[in-house]
Amino acid sequence: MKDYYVLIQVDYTKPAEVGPKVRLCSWIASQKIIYSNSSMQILDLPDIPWASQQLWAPDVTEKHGEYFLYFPAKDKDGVFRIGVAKSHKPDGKFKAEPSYIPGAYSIDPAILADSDGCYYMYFGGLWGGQLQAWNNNTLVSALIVINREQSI
Amino acid sequence: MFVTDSTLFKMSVAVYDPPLISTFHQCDPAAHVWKHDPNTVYVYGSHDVNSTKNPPVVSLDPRIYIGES
Repeated sequence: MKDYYVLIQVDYTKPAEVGPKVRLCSWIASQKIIYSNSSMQILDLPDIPWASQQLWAPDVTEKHGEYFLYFPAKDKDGVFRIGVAKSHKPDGKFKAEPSYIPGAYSIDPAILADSDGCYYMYFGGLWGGQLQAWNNNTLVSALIVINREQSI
Repeated sequence: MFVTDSTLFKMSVAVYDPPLISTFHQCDPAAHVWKHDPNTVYVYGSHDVNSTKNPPVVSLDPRIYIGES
């Protein structure tokens, strides 16, 4: 795995930082931006068997022509889990798997498809993301999950 | 978060005024340029149901949408 830049925000009153900025400028300049008024629903909460509420913050990756949409949502017990839905087109519609990813928890998955064929998921969020209730991949405090979701 | 095509696109919103996308109002976007369609940016947002109805910040009826720009 080669080096990647990490986007950080050390002060919430200031923009996030990453470098070098010239890469951003050159990337934007090379794009032909076409506006469209179209938007379409590609995954809905009732279509996710294990989820109960708060479906949000997805990311998508592709492998061998199949697209995988990763998303957080609360399960039937009110615990945030991360699930996956599949489609053969990037604009869906995506079909959710029957259950969330075993062992997955918290919110905001971001997927990195590395050039060596490995895929990495980065996730997490305190309070609203319930990460404070977990220790060593074990839910240690259901009470915290229920009572201290300050950002929701 | 790592700098991928999606991160760069999200950052562009902060750099350019007006925003690159103004046709739907959502949050937590992920954006990708797929190999089979290199001239299209696929933006995956969430939360808001219908931008024409001035939805709340956190929708009670969440869906995930895709918008092309």
